[in-house]
Amino acid sequence: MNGLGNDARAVLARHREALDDAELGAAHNWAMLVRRIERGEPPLDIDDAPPAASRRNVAARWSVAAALVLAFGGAAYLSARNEIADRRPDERHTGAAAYGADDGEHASLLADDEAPRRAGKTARKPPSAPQAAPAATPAIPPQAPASTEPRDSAKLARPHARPATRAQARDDAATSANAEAMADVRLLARARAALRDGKPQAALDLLRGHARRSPNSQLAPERDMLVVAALCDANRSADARAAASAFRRNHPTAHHLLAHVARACDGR
Amino acid sequence: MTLVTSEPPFVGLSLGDVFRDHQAFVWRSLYHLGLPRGQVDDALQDVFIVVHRRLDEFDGRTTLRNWLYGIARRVASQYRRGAERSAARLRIVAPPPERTPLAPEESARLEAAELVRHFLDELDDDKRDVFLLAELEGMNANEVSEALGVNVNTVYARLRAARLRFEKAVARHTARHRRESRG
Repeated sequence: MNGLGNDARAVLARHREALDDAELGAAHNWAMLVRRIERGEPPLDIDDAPPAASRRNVAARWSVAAALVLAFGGAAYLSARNEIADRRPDERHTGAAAYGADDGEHASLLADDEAPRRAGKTARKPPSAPQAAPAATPAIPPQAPASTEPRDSAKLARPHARPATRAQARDDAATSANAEAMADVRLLARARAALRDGKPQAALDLLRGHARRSPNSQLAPERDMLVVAALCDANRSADARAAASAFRRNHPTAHHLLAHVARACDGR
Repeated sequence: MTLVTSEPPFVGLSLGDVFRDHQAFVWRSLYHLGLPRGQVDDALQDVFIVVHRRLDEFDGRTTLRNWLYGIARRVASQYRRGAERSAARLRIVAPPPERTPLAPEESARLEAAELVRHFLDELDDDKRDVFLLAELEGMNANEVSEALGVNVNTVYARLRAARLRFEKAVARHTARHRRESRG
């Protein structure tokens, strides 16, 4: 199917280059996806009600989810994202290539059985190819990076599990931190839902309440980005611009979100 | 001896596998389906929440990419219902005026992106699906036909019409550019 002239093809090629954000935000999207799944957020009702996944696969995916939350904590997450940003554009256009790095952070995105496939450079093979031994290989990423505190991950996988070691106090503190993180995620989801429902003031109330209670939350960048969106929806242009400036000032390293705050406003 | 196994063929596919291999495709599809950049990330997560819930239902009768595209279309459609709000929102917080001028290559890329995006927004849904899958995702006619559930002749017809319009849009853009650079 060919038929476009050279000028048109050149435009399409430049257009593709301009869409590198797809890879730039991949790490952020994965972390947010896992958080939303963890809090049990239901899927959008895109047609009829979807049947629930089987218990076995739910369990396997929870394990993946927990390990992946782990893989995207703090500095490890930023580092992974920056590495993606540093890749050549031609690499970034290939989804598998962006995740095919050999470092621990990216490797932790992959299932156990992924290493042989990557080594064979067949990560882009059609997913319809039969799996060698699927049922016997739980989809849990390999060794987590040291900086990501595996203890927390285990609890995220089983939120109600009771610690049974002498490190009770430390475990309790971690449990409390997890609970706070989950509350943050729930709040952001409610704010996002309010925006989708056309209720920017409700979103702002939620977000500002959160900013008062937890100014330094790990999710402060996401929260402040939503504030900009809510102010725009509420037709408070001057406040939105001020919030966008504050965002750039307060979260200068939130590269992917900075891009959203700036470019999301380019209009359609 | 049983001829039919009790396990579906894709039972070992994890959410991580699907996300790693296809998130970029889903991201681009959502963007090309008309979502503002500021919503694409949220919508992408929504697509994969559906995937997480429904991965067991994927039986390999179509390619995974086609299955994902079907989900992305429906999620995009949900988002577009609130598009007026978003469009108003996204125009407000413009990039800072003191921003350094873009390098010529970057400027050309953004211009091209804007042109393609505007073109896709103006195109009707049927032609847009075909154009973006064929021209932007590199699918062949059979793959597009399978993804959209229409016959191959229809794919060719829609693609011809979409290409014609795109050529005209590019020609108009080039002519305007020449006029501006002369004047």
